Amino acid sequence: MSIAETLVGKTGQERCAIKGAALAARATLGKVDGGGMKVEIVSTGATKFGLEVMVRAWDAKGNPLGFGPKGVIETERIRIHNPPIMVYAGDGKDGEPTYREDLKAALLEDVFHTISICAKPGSKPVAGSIGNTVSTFYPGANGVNDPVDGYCGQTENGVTFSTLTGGVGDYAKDTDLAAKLYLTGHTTTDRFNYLYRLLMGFDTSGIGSDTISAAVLSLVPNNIYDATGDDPGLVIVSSAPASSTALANGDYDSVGSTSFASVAIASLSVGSYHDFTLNASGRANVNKSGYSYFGALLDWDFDDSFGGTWASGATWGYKIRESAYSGTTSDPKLVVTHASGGATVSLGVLECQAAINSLTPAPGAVTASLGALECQAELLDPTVMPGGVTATLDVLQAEAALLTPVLSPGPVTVPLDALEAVAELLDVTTVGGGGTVLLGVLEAEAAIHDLTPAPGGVSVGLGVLEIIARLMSPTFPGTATGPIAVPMVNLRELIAATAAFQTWVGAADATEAEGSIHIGGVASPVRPFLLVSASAFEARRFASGARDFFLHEGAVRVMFEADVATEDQAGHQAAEEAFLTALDGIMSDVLDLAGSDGYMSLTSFDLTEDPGRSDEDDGEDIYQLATEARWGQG
Amino acid sequence: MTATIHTPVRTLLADTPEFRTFVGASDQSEALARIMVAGVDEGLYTRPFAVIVTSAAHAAGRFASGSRDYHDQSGLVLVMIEDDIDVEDLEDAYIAFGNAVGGILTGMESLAGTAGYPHIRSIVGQRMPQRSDEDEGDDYYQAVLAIEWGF
Repeated sequence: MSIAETLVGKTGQERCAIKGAALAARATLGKVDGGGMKVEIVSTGATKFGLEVMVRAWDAKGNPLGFGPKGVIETERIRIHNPPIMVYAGDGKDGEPTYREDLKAALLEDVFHTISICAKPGSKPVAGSIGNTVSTFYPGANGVNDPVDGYCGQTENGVTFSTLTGGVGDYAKDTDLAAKLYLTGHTTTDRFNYLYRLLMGFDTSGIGSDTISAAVLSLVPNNIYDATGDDPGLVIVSSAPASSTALANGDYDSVGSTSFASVAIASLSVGSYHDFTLNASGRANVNKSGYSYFGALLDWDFDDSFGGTWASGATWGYKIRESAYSGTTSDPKLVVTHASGGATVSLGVLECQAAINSLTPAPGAVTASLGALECQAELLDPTVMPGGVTATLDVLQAEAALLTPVLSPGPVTVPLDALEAVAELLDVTTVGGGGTVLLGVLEAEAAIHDLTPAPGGVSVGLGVLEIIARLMSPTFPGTATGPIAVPMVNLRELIAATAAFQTWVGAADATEAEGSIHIGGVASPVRPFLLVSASAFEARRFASGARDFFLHEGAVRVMFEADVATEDQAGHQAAEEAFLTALDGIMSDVLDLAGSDGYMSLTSFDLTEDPGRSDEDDGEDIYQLATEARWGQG
Repeated sequence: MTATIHTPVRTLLADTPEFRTFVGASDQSEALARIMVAGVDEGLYTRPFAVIVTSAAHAAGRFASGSRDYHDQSGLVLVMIEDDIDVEDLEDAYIAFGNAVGGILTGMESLAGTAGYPHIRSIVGQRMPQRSDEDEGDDYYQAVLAIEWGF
């Protein structure tokens, strides 16, 4: 018996629980590719509302995708309320789409879409960190049309546009497969017949007292009507139907007048989700203890002004798939990121320092030799670090020593003020410029890790403290210091900034290009890429009279690797020419840019090995070549 | 001199603040416990640590000019540095180890030649930071610095 068959006759909540249990039992843990990313299903668990899934994710180049407001979270918790179990199985003979029950595929489809909404590309998640709760909601979680979704209309015959927008509604339907969300023209110039609005509800009561940090509403167009090319956009607003289980004519004018999100018609396509990221007003419209109702209007309707070119009998707008549409993978979907707690206190810099220093009496604690502001600046401004590492170390050692006792296994209790202070110290984006301190990491971390602020302190898990300690550590990985690591990072920045390299790796800009240059090693590289490592260093004493110091010079090895293009695989000459032509361009660009403002200077950039093609029997056809970039004062 | 140069180099390394940070030592004695001398100290080393190897390379050239008449000595000492790696992120691990090695050698530069410490002519990366062979069953980073002492 299929799962769908077991749902017959069950209540909405029973259906959610049955589907959640079935999905949890059949889900395959491990990594899987799809949607331009790689996702690891770390664990699954059935809940009364459906399913909870712990996930990690990487982009197409193998770079980890972070979650949470700052993208520092490695593993995210996704709760799927009323989870889907059906997937699209092609169109039938009648041209209508058909669906089949496939629990694994439906789960992955939902998870990939949710991650595409909430992950932070280009972020740097901290290993071991566990994140927020991301909940997904669909209409009809508690039974057919509970909460309801459908559409209401004002149906006239040759009236002005404002008559339609100002009407109280005379039509409602909540059983169609796709909701009407459009305007139709009459045969008389500048007169119209029908105007429809979409309304939908979600049972978001499971959020409870959590703080919402993000919300995204996703809709799938089933039809798009724009015969006159006037681009009617779509606006998301609130709605307030009188009943949670059926729409009435009068719900037509229950839609709100505040825009939560909007989109132009050109960015929508039939059969694909479009994601509307809700603004603060939209997030505030999420009811954490009951049903949340949203509406969708044409932007002309929202503005109460017809913005198109009138045409007799024309239709402008959309049909949007409803929960009654076959399967669940194109239903209206609300994705909410939320977490408990959340600190709101903003402390001053000196208060931060004081709080940290009174965190705990550390054995052998080091006395910080720098002032609080100086410490603050050097801790938080990465650009200061290369030049001021020595001066900063004492302070960092002090901080690390102070934090060390809290790294004992198991949860510990620390004062809330101290953690807030640490969070403020770690907010790297706001301090360097003018000393303004805002809450950052901890506010998110506290919420993410379900901290419960309480008088006298909060109980936190080891993971949070490890994150904080790691970020505070003087050897915090990722920030290069000293004459071995800094040249490698600077060379990566230099190469990534060149147009030839960006073209070679298909990157839109230097930041994206840096993702194809790996330092020291990479677990699963995506070609083409560069592997950078330190290959030589020399410090030679320069002593002459009062001058006595060391001159530094060194070299960085850069290994290029790329697939041989399919069209070049038949012959060696074409393959090698293509590879070397690209490299010539990159090396030339690098030498041109080196030494200019903001980029490291090179004394040479040479090949150290001839290009080599892989053994065809390896099953991979790639080219490799090693170069060496030399730098220094010697 | 070649036979005993390891002692002042070991002291220099132990008093370098960056090395103490690297091995988690709070004073010289704790740092010295993390510095072994090849052929002298035996036993199983626990990372992070440094090993000093005294090279056979040694020169003693007579410096004679008027009343000045002595042998000007110089030589080479190798310092091998090892630490376990963070396998969660290879790049972070490599940069972290590069930071440590870079910090140690610049810290040694600052102390070298000052009172109580040997004079250093150069420090060369004899073996730049690299990861151990995964098949060894032990996962760590290693670098070797060649330190030329003398005048």
